[in-house]
Amino acid sequence: MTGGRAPVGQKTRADTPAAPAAPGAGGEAAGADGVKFSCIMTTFNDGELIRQSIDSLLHQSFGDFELLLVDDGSSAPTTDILAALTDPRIRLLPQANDGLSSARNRGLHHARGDYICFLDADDVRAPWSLAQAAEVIDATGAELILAPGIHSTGRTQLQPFMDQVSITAIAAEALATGPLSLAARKAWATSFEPQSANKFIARSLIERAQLRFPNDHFFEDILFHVLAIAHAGSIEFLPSPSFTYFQRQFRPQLTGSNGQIRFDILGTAGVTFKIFERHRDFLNPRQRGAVSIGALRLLRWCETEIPTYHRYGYRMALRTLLHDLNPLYLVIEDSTPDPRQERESLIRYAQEVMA
Amino acid sequence: MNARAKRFGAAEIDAPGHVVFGQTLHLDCDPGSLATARELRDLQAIYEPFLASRVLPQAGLCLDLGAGAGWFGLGFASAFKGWTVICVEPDPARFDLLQQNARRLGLKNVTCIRAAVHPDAQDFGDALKAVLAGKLRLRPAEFQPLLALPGKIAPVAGGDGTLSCPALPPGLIARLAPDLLRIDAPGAEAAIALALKDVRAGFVVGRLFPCLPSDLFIPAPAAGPRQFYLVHGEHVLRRDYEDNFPARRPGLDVVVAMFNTRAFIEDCVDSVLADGNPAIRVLVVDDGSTDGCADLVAALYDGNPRVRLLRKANGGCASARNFGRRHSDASHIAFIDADDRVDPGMFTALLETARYTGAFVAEGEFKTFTTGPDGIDSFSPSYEAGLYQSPGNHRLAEFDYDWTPGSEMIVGQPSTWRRVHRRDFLDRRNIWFPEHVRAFDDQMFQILVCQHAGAIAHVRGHAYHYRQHPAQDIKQGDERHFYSFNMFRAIFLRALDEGRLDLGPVFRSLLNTMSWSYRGLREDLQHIYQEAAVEFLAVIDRTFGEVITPQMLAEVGIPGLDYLVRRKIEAMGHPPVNYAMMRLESWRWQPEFIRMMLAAG
Repeated sequence: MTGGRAPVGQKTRADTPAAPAAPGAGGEAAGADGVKFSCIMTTFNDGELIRQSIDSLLHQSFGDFELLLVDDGSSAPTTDILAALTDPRIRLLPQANDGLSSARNRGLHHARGDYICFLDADDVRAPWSLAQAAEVIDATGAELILAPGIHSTGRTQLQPFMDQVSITAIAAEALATGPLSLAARKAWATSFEPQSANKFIARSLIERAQLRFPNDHFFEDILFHVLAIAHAGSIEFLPSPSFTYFQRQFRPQLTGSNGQIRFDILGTAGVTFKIFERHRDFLNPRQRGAVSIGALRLLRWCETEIPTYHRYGYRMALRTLLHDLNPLYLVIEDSTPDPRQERESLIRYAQEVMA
Repeated sequence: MNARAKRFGAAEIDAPGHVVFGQTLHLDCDPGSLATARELRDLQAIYEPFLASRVLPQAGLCLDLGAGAGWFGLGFASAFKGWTVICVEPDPARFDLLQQNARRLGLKNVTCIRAAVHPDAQDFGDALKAVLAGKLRLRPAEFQPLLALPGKIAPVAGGDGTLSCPALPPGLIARLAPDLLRIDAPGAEAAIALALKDVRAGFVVGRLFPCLPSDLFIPAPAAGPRQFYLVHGEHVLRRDYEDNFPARRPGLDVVVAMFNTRAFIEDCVDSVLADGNPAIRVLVVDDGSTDGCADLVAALYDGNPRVRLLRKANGGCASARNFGRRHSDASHIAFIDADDRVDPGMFTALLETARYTGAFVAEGEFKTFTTGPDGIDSFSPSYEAGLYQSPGNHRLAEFDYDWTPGSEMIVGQPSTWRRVHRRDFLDRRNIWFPEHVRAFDDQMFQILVCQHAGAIAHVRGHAYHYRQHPAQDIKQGDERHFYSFNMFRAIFLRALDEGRLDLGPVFRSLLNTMSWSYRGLREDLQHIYQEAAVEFLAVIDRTFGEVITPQMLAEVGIPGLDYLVRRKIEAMGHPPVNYAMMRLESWRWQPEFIRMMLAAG
């Protein structure tokens, strides 16, 4: 275990949670203040599946972390599994069912690690994941680390995760132009799949940017992803796969049916556009274009996935959203990272919706 | 004479026929008398509905106290042949009818006893068993009024082996342990209830003539589950709505969400405990306090079975309330603030009303108070004080109450703390405090509760004491006011899902909230709030149509609201009215978004 911590820019060491629990209050982890990583895992009735996710963390070769396990209102047997956990690095944070974003935000509120990472309760972290991230952090002090992953569809061979195309393209660009500038890294990083398991984020960055997941909304990652990159002072990419994503696209929430979850992208994408517009990186056309491509891809996909009887309503709301958008978002330059060649079809889609 | 009457052997008797438990029964019964009319009315109003809604075992012992001419007891014996029925009736004339009828119907599973239940009757041991076994014969004896000298209400054994027993002691009911008890025994209910406390008796049905404390009828846990249905005037005491929640304790948990309120918590908890009602317990949830109030509670109430302390990591008021609820096993639940108090007896009044009316929600009144530097409290009446002038229209023992439409309570100040909720109602309607909302979370809870509850039992004369002090959230004017948009958005989305379009009171509540928040807001946040309100009202307009008039907007007090909303709708491209517009979101509608926006540049 590497106990030492590399100097990382802008770290504020004195951070403590807003209201540390009184001594003797239950649920406090053994490690006092400050660990290398806070791993945030949320669960809502994941049942037995959660065991392998938890074990994939507890069996990491790098041990200096806390696991914040937010139970988003599960019932038995999940609650029984959680109650039986004894590893002192685990802190259990229960809440009544309030959604994935709310649960992740609760984890963020209690996190004490220098870096934060997330893992869904049905996914798995590679055994070397934290060790590899710690090594890069110690060597570079990067505020944001992005990692490749493995994608399991449960049918065919295990594949690289969807953003492998970005990773390959980054390597190609670095080969052609030399080491990438921060602006180029940000543009490429933005083109990654907006997803939470693929990044390690300095807690100081999260606090500086006031990053939170959008309460009441699914597709929560795009907002967090875009803004984490925008605020990052330095970005590194890990070489080896860091997680395995098991195809399991939605988690049920007590309220709302699965069909309506697709509507949530309207809210999340809309807010992402607005807040990113305020950030100076909005003026970086490649990065801005990557935000557009990422958001429009999700907006278009959700229209095709939403129940038929919601499609008209969805399109009317999307139309309003696009009308209200800074027009520069639809000026996507051809230098924009576009590993899947979606640029032109997405622009066409947006124009069709607005017509 | 019809065939059915012949089958009952009633051909030669002029007995009226009535359909009882799926069969026509002819009983000799003094038709036209008040007593008969009552028996038949109760059969229709109480006993048929009760038995129609229960799953009775195929055999058992039924004890019918106050059997009258036998409409219930004999009807039951005839319909449920596997059961043994003991009919007990004190009135000599009714008893004669009862016996005649029993004999004529030829029911083998019926025993008739002429007696009343009386709390002062001396216990005569196992004599009744002998009666039932046929070893002793009950002799119709002249009826002794219950108030006769105690010595005379003891059974008298005659030389010929007969027994006269005008009064039965309640303890005998306990020894019989009937599977079904039917009570029509004015004045003896309390004694019967006490005798039944520890006895296995699965079904209890009947009339309550006096209004008795409901706890009397709740069996001790060892007695096993019991379904009771006891009618008192327009009220009924029943517990079967808890059927699907087997581990539920009948009673009230008062959840106190506590965060750094060391100075007030003792007053708060003591005020709830003051009425001494063991059915009411306090669940103090310490939300990660740092002022030692949790240790204080632990020390003060150590060993008090009515107080439970739960500690959790800090997570906000909503999370503490939900945490308490998830740890509560009570049939009823209330959520109060740790710096407030209640009139002693308020929660007993609310619990009794809730139990006897079956109300999803019962509420008390409230008044505000401040504690001066001299330690003296000064009270002010709530704005509701003028609304309820007369005594309540309904009366239950010493409690007056009214049924207030839930829609009327939507508009008012959030006052969840003066309410008792049926837990099964909250669970089935899936109404929780929104945990990500770190202020005013009770407003959403209140609106959803009022929308779903129908009517609320508003109990008069018992008040919650709502403390006012400068540290209260509402006075800080920070960005937490923007949570209102988040909550109202969730309320509107849910209303769309539920097909709930009677949203007038919710719109009014929204405008009141905007008006109140805007006035109290920090100046640097006011322009963001103005724009947030404009966006929100434009989305409402495009979701529900023109439901909010310019006049209503003008009264909010946010400058130019009507004009700006119209301009906003134009800027949106004047989309057609569509439910999906409510799915739009703004960075101005959640404090977390606003903080991210301000941090972005």
